[in-house]
Amino acid sequence: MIHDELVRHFRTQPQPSLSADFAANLRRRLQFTRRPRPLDAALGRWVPRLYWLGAAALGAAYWQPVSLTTFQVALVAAAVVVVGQTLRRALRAGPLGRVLRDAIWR
Amino acid sequence: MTATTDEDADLVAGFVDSGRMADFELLVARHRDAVFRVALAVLGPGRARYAEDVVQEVFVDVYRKLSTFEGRSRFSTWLYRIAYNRAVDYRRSMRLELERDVVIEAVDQLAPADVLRSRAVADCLSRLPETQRAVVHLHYWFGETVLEISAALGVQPGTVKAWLFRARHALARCLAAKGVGHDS
Repeated sequence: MIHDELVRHFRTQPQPSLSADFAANLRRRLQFTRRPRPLDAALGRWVPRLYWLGAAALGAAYWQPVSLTTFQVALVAAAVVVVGQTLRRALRAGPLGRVLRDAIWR
Repeated sequence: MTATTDEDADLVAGFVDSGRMADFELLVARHRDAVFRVALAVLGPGRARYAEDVVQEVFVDVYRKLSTFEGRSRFSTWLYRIAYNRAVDYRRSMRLELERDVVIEAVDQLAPADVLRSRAVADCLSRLPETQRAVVHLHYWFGETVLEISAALGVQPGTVKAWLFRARHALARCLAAKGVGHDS
């Protein structure tokens, strides 16, 4: 049985642990790491979003296939944002994302 | 994902809202071994030094990004996902160096025939997709249950079972192709 083969194989593998100076090394690294202020974190989230919204709005204004009212453009933009966010979450964190990543990298 | 009762929530809030370093150090102490196991599960045996680098990077990352944690999942789920992704990125960036040869520790404790057999198993393991290899390592190397693995990787227990099943199937085929029968 492959199960027994794996049990036998890993029985000989030592189980390593973190080195004794792990905590000291981490503390030293954290001393030189700057924590972003809440404002920086909010900017970090919103600047890319606004950038892509602006880029999409410019693209839509340039290639406008049919004449849309401002309200319709806003509706389309909102739909694109919702679909984009849903896809991002599904692909980034879920098992589907991992399977796709594996398929691309293998 | 819905938020659940999170035993780390107070420590997270203490660090984010009040900047209490002691709270962050408690979070590190509570989770560092599990993060280390996730990193090792991705990198494989014999890579403890690399895995420790990954754990350091993960906690530096968390230190920087904890204010962006929105609490939609448990803190541990969020943390282990960062650890898994970091380790996968590390493995890819070090691909040639890490995969130059198959690492088998404690070779001196094995009979020559078992060394060959172990090399074959290790080689077949290195050919598995990342998720399957990580799950096999967590289950067979660290003795974690399906439920513990599903919590560590943030996936359903059924998904873990499916990955284990596929991994065993692929390993059996790979070993058979190498002439390593299960009865030999």
